[in-house]
Amino acid sequence: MHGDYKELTRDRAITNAPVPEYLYVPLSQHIGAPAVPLVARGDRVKRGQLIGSADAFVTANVHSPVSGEVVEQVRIINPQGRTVDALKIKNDFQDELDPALKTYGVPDELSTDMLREIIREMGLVGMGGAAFPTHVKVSPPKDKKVDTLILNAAECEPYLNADYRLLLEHPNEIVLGLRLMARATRAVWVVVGLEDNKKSVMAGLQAAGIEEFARIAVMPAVYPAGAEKVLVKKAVGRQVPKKGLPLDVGVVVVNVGTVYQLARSIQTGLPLLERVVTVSGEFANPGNYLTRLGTLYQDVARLPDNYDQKDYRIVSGGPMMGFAVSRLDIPVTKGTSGLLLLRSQIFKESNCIRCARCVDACPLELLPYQDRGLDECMECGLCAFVCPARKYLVQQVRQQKAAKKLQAK
Amino acid sequence: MKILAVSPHLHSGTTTRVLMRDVLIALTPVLLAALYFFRWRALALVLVCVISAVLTELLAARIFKKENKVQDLSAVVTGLLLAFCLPPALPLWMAALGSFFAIFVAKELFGGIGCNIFNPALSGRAFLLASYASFMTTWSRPLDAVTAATPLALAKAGSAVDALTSAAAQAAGQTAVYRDLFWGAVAGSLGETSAAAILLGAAYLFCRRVIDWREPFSYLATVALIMFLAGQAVLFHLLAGGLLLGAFFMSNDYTTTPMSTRGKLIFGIGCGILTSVIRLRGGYPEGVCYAILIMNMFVPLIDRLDLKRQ
Repeated sequence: MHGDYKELTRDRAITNAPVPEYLYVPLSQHIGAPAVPLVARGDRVKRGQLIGSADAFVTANVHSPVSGEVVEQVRIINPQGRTVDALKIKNDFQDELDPALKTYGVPDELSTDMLREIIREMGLVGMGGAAFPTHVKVSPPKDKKVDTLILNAAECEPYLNADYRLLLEHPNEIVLGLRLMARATRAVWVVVGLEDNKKSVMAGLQAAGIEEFARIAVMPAVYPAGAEKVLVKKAVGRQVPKKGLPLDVGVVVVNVGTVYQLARSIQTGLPLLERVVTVSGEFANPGNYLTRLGTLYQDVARLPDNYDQKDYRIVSGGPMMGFAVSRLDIPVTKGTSGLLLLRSQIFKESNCIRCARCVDACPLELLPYQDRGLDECMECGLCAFVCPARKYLVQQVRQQKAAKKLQAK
Repeated sequence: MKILAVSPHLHSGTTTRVLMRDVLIALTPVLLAALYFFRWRALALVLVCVISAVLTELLAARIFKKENKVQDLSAVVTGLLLAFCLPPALPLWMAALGSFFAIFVAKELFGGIGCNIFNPALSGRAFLLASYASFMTTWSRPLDAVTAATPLALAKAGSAVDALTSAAAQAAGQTAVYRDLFWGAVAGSLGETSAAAILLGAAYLFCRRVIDWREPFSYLATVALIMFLAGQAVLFHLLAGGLLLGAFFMSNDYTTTPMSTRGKLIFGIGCGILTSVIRLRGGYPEGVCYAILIMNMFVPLIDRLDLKRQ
């Protein structure tokens, strides 16, 4: 994409975000059944302790990112703008580890079943934004055969550099995590889908031995190169069917943050407790921050001095698919890849001039100007990005999808 | 103010106004060529057409109680393009009337920008041709404004220039005539005579990605192929008349042409066939205007093909 704004934080090394006194850990940071709290008001919790879990297949465990005390269960706005249950934890700043944490010995001696169990226990999800539970992804149903694992190293959203910094700074963990993920999925071929604006990470990955088991596919940095269907097509040349999943063509796609976390979890025994968040745009402290889950936005991103005078929108995630939110007392969750403050205006739609830019731009070859065939739209936002009339194309798609859901009920 | 809105939160910045501004920039070489060859007549016609187009747009907004959209610059583009397909000696009030027809009838009565079926500038020209046929077919020589026939008319009448249309004569070398066709020192509409100026403007639009190759090249390739098969001088037919202006600035008008690749190719090929048939067999020496207008009618049908495919 022309002007991807990545330069704002590209060269900023990952640093630790300050750990706040109060953390708000949502019980549902993933797709699937919300976790049921295992602790209650007044309970002492340790860092890494399991505090939420559900008796379902599609769900993810939730752990305490700090040691301290459970203040209460609260309702809080999540990054998608929904009100959800969260545990408010008072940090005692001791970071006392949970004694129940296990150690795993030599990573390469772990079996597929053990790896799948570890992935489930550690609460791993896709950390690119959708937060789909990873243990579900790596355990395909019996009738689907997985032969290919793709590491989604595209990070095609403008502004974001969280994955890029991990690839650059922690190639050894990425390579270990990817190797373990390949074993967990029983994939034969492993491909790294990398955008050509991130070639600087290749030397590190090669030195860490990635080419012993994986192929690096360099793709043009054209948004949305990291959208699953586009990535599968570009990296291994397979066409995911309409309304289908990569699984339907034997492919599992995993995120850089998830792979890194798997390696770290096995090295340290700690579950998913923190993630890298790119803070960018007009925030006063642009950078890439390793942030404890449950940290409020206001504790990691600092507002500029002119915040009250100018028109802004706060965005959770990337600017193309992220969510605009109205406030900063929202917790960082497993899927929070970025936190952006963008100068913004409200534009009126004008007449469609039939320029066909939306048709040419759509990576799924839909007709965005028409209200047909949009069930499969992944809302990448490219049509609205290029529309000279500034039509609310993505909004229309969402409305139609919502209306259909209502009708189905 | 804090803004909540659905993603995407970025925009390319290329709005309708930016696109129209680019078209105006691309038409500047054509305008300069017209001013050079046809002097104050060109200036007067361009001013009359553009001003009456803008005034008509304002009037339509008033009458239909709509927001006035003059700032999107589309009326300026229409006025300029209409002036470019008029003969230099046309009375100014006729030009104003044609401009009124283009904007009021062809564009605003159909719903305004984005809703018209026919290319407004070409509709204005067709209206004038039907109403004032003799004025619309009286051409003047560049620079000295003496009444003269266009190269296509001469070719059709089988006069001296006829020799030029045969491949043999072309091989014998009529470089002087081709030079005039390329630079624009021939009789014709204001903006159609200079191939060099049109190609320069089109190159700018390609570089800015405002237009793409699909309609113009399928159009030109079809004309070239048919003229070749008919034993005509291919280069002469590409350079003479309004073909280049039509191909690069009208056959790819966003609103009045199809939206898919396949549709655009069908449209360009259709324009090429109709233009060639009119030039070779029709009563008029030139066929670009009617070819594009006739193909405009098929656009809803062509677009339906793509809906079916979905």
